[in-house]
Amino acid sequence: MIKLIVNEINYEMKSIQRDWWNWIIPVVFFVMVAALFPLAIGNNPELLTQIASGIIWIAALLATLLSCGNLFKNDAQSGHLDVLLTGALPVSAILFCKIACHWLAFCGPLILITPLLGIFFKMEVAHIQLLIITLLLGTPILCLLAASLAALTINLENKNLLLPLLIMPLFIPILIFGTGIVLATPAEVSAGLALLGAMLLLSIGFLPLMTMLALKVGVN
Amino acid sequence: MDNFKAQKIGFKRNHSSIFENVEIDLQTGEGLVVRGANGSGKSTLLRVLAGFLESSAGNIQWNKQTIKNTQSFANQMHYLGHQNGLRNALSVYENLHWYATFAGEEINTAKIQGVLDRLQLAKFWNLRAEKLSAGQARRLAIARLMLVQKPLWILDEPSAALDTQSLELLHNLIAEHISKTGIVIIATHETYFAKLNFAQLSLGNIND
Amino acid sequence: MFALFSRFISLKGFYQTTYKYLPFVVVAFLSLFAYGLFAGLFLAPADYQQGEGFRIIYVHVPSAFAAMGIYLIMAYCAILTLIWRIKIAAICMSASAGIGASFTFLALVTGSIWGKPMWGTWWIWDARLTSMLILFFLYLGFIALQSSIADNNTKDRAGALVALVGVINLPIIHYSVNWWSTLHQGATLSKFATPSIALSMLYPLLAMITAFFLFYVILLTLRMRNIILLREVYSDWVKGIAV
Repeated sequence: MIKLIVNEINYEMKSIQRDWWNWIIPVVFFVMVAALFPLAIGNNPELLTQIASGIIWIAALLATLLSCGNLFKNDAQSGHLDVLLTGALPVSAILFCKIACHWLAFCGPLILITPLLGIFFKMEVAHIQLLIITLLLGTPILCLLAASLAALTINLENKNLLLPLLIMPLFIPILIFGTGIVLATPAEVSAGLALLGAMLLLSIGFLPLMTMLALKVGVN
Repeated sequence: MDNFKAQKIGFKRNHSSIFENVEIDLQTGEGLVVRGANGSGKSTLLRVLAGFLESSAGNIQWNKQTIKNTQSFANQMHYLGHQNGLRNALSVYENLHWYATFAGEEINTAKIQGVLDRLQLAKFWNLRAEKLSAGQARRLAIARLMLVQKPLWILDEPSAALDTQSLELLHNLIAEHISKTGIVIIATHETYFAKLNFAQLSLGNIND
Repeated sequence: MFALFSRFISLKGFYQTTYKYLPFVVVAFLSLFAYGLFAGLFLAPADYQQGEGFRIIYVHVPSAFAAMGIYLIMAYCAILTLIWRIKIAAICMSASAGIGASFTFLALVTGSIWGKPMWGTWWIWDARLTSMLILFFLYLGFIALQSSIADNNTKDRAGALVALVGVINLPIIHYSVNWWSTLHQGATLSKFATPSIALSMLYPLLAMITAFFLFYVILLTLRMRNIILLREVYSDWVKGIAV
C-alpha cells in the first residue's frame, strides 16, 4: 500500500513537472494579480502596506482556485480517471496523493515568491513571516476544498465560472483567518493559527472522502 | 474457476430505460459480444458491468461477490473504454511502469520491452503519450492488458483506430486470453468473435 | 402515525395528499399574516430608540430566520438524499433553494432599507449583513449547479453534496465573519441592541415568523408539485391527470 502511494505521488509529480510552464504560470498569475492592486488604487505606499496581506492572500486564493479547477480535467478526458478507479488503491488515497502533488507544484512556488511580494509592498518582516505561515496552512485547505467541488463539475460544459461561484463562500473563512492573523495581536495570533491548523487537519481528514463521493457523482 | 454473473440488470436515465432485464452468466473461458446500433446503450451497459455506473435494477456478481463499484473487483478487471486511459505527460515506458506498480506487480523491464515489441511500440519507448497517433495510443492501452494479467476483460470497441495488422494482433490476444482462463466481454461490430463461440447480446430492443 | 408519514414519501402520494391539506395551510397563513401585520404596524407601540422605523423588523427578522432555516432544511434533505436516496427529499431540496434565495435577498434588502435611517448608510460590512450575503452566494451557487445538470439523479446528488458542504461551513463562516468584524473595527457601528423586547412587540413578531414559515410551506408545496409532475411526466398517474 505504501508502495502504491509512493508510486502515485512519484508519477503524479512527474506528470506535472514535466511541463515547465506548470511551475511558472501560477507564479506569474499570482504576481500579476497582486500587481493589479497598486495599478488600480494608485501608488499610495502607506495604503498598500496596510492592505498588502489581503492583496497577497486574494492573489493566492485566485491562483489556487483557477489551477485546482483543472485538477481532474486532464485525467477525465484521457480516460485515466477510469483506470485509477479500477485499481487496488482506495480512491481517497489516490485523491489525497493527487491533491498533495498539486498543492506542492502549484502553491509551493507561490509561497516561495511571497517574501518578494511582501518586500515590494513594504511589509514588516514579522508580518511576512506570519503571512507565509498562514499561506502554508491555508492553501492546502483551499486545494482540498477546490478539489472536492471540482470533482462534482467534471462533466459539465459551461463550468467556467460555476466552480469559482460554488467555492468562494467556502474560501471566505480561510481568507478571513489567513489575513486576520497577520494583523492581529500576538495573543490572537496563536489562537488563530491553532484554529487554522485545526481546519487543515479536519480538511485532510474529511475532504478526500467528500471528494470521492463527488467524483462518483461527477463521473456519471 | 471464475464466474461473472449479471442478473436482471437495467439502467434508466431520467425515466427512459436504456436497457433492462439483461442476464449474463459467464465462466472462465467464455466470452460475450454485445451488439447494437450506435447509441443503443452498449457503452452504458459495459460501464454498468464494470462498476462505474450503478444499475437501476438487479445485481452483478463476480465470484459470488456483489459488485457495488469498480473497486469491488479487487483488481481483477481490465476495462478498456473509448478513451485510452493514458497519462499524457508521461512517456510510453513510464505509463506501463506506472501501471505495473499500480496493479501491484513487480517491475520487469524485460517484460515491458517484450510487450512493446509485440505491439510494435518499442521505438516509442521515450515518447510522450500525447504525441502518439490514435492507433499507437490504442495499442498502448492494449499493452496494459497484456502487461498485467487479470481474469476479466471488459472492452468497449477496442478495435477503434487499429489497422489490420494490429487488429489481427488484438484478435490473437483475446483468443489467447480466453483459452488461458479468462473471461471477455466485448462491445464490437466485428464478426470475428462468433468463431470463438462467444455468446451474443443485442441491445437496442427494450424487451431484451 | 407512520401511515400519515408514508403518504408523503411517495411522489404520487405527496401530490395527492397535499392537494387535500393545502387549503388549511393557506387559511392558517392568511390569518397569522393578517394578525402579524395589523398588530405590528398599528398596535405595537413605537420603539423609544428608533421610532416608527423599527417596524420593518416584522419583515426583516422573519425573512432572515426563513433564509437560515430553509438552508438547514435543505441540508437535512441533502442527508436524506445522499444516504437513503429518498426522492421526495431531493425534490424538497431543489424546490427550497429558490425560495430560500428569495428570502435571503428580501432579508438583505429590508436590512439595507432599515440601515439607511438607523446607520445612515445603505450597506455596511458588519458581521450579520456579510454573513447573510455569503448565505445568498451559497444559495445561488447551489441553484446554478443544479440548473447546469440535466440528469435528475446526478442533479440531486451533486446538489446534496454542495448543500452539505455549505451547511458544514455555515457556522465556520458565521464565526469567522464575527471575528473579522471585531478585528477590523473601522467604522463604529451602533450595534442594534435587543435587550428585552416588549410583549406587545413580540407577539406580532412571532406571528410573522410563523406566517413566513407557513408561506414557505405553501410555496414549497406548490413548487414540489410542479417538479413532481415534470419528473414523472411519463408515468401513468400523471397522464391520468392531464386527461
